[in-house]
Formats: sequence, structure tokens, C-alpha cells
Amino acid sequence: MTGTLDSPQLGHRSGRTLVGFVVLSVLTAGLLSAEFVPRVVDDEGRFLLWVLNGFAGVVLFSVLLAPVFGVTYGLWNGGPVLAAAVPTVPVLVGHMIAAQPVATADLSFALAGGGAAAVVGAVQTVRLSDGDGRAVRASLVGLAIAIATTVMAGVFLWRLLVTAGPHVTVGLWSTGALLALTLGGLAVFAVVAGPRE
Amino acid sequence: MEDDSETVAFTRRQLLASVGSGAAAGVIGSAVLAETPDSPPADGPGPSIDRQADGISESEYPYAVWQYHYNTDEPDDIGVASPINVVFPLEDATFGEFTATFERAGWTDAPLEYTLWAWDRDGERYRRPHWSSAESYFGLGGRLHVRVWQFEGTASVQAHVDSAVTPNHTVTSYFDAQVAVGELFEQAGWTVDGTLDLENATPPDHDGHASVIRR
Repeated sequence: MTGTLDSPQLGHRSGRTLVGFVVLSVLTAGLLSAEFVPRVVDDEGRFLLWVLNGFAGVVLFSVLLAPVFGVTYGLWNGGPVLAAAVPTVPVLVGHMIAAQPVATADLSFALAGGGAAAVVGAVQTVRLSDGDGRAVRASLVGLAIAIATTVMAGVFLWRLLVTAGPHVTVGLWSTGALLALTLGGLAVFAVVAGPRE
Repeated sequence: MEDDSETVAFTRRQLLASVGSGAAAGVIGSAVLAETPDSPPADGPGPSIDRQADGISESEYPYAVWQYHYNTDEPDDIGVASPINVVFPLEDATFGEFTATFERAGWTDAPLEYTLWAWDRDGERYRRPHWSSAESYFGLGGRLHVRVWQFEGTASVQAHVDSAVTPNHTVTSYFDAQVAVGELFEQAGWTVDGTLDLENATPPDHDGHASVIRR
């Protein structure tokens, strides 16, 4: 396990990487619990279902904040792959439960959050690398993830601006803000890690 | 800056490969998910309603009148939450054809949602929704969302617009969602055939009349 945690794609310090995994695991486990536990409660279990409604609310708000968690993790410990996973994996799991193969505002938001977290993680991986070639090359994986997620989030956002109703305006603005953060991060990455010859 | 060369750990070629593979993956991912959920907008602001009405008796029609939530101040720990605002007699359509209309619009039939109830006059008990749908699973930035009960061969729909999760979903409009559902079904060839007065007016913008939609 220590070997896995030592990968610079996941984080600079293994103790902090473990914290990142715990955050991702708690988010995902919380989501699965909010989805599946109410299914085994009887219609008459009103108090318990009310408590579970509250739990679902906490899960929803946590998933909304996941881009903040991912970016914070990237700043704290590099690890662009794990940083990107924190905002994206819970929403991808939700999409799988929903069996919804379309570009939703949720997906656009999560991918934009994943891109922002990946590029912040990539920049920090370079800064924390102390010249370690393995770590700096790991930042290239983060760069690729940041570009892939940003392209998808940007395309989805563009389509949603045309098709979605005014009720998702908050979500679309939030997605746009995350995309702007990612573009700023890419500029910083170019300065910090650009090849010098 | 003399030691710059020591921090160089990848070449320009590797950098371009990273950028190129990321861009290619992004383009492929965008092409795979080419559709967005159909979300018809409402024409304008609905009526301004400042007081919740009493509603007609739940035994009047085969449709539900209210959606209920857990409330310890009420008998059976259950109280009125929100109005049923769209009903489907389903004389010439099946429940499966009804649900397929939402699914064809790109909505999910398994949204993450709070548990609520409606009164089943036939079974004389409160029931959780038989079916639900929304534009997206979480609706983090807002969404259209419906809960549906299938009573006596009909469908009773509670349609609403959920706010962004800040920090919870709250209802921002019943009217806009009622119009959107009507539009969605008209696009699919169904007909909005007037309204039924369920006397369940509810703030901020439901006037107590449910849309009646037939195929």
C-alpha cells in the first residue's frame, strides 16, 4: 500500500495521500449509502427516512463542494490524478446509478472541477518535486487529465448554454468559474514546468 | 537560474504528447456524450401565490392532491409539502409510454432525491413515489424534477424546479416545471387538455390547477 501511496501522481507525501483517499472514499461511500439505504426502509419508517433525507442533503452539499476539496488537496499535496478524482468520481458514480448517458450540468461541473484540481495538482507536483524527474513527468499526466476534462466540460457547457433552461444558471456559472481557474492554472503550469533548452 | 536545466525532466515532445493526448481524450469524450437533457423553458413568471390553500379531498379523484413530508406536528407524523400539478388520465397510453417520454428527453429515472409520500385513496395509506425523474442525478446547479404516483391507472405528478444545492435543494417554482412537463409531452405528440382544479394553490407560484395531459 505504501508503494501505491508513494506515486507522485497521487501525492507528494504518503500520509497526505492517504487523507486524499479517505476523502474520496467517504464521498463515494456516502453517496452509495444515500442512494441504497432508503430502498431497504419500509414506507412506514417515516422518521428513519426523514433522517436519511438529511443525510442525502449532506451528501449533495459535499458533492457540490468536492471541487473545492480536490483543488485544496492538489495545493496541499500535488497528486493531480487523485486531486482530479475527488470531484469527478462521485459524480461519475451518480451518473452510472442514474444510467444517464447524456451530458448533464452535473457532469460538466464535475469535469470542470476535476480539471481545476488536476492542473493545481500538476503545478504543485512540479513545485514539490525538487528536481525529481519521476515527479515532474507525473505532472504531465495531470496536464493531460486537466486538458481532457476541460475540453469535455467546455463542450458540455457550450451545449447546455443553448439547451438548458434558466433554472441551471447557477450551475453553469459555477462551471465557467472552474474552467477559468483551470485556464489560469495551465498558464502557471507553462511558466513553472515549461521545457527549457 | 543556472540550475534550470536540472529541473527539466521532460522534453518538448513529451509535453506535446501530453497536451495532444488530453485534447484527443476530451474530443472523444465530448463526441460520445453528444446529447443534453431536454429542458423546455417556461414562457414567463407564473402567478404570485402567497398562501397555501386547503386542497380538495384526497378521495375526490383517482389522482393524488398533495405530496407529503415527515412532520411531527401533524397526525401520523405526516404533513402537506407540495401540490400535485400535472395529472395523466392514461386512458389511451400505458404507464410505460408515459415514463419513456421523460427517458427519451434524456432525463434519468433514478435521481437522488428526498423521500416524500402521497395518499393512496384505494389502498388507504401513504405511499412513496412509484417513479421519479429529473434532468440530472444530483441537480447540483438546479434541475427540473418530478415524483410520480400511479393510482387506479392514472399518473399523478409533482413537478418542480429544484434550486442549486446551496446548501439544500429548495423549490424555486412549481409553475415553470408544470409548463416544462407540458411542453415535453406536447413535443412527443401528447396534448395538454386543460386543467383540473385540485384547489391546492401553493406559494410561490402554483394556482391550484393541475395540467391534464392525454395522448
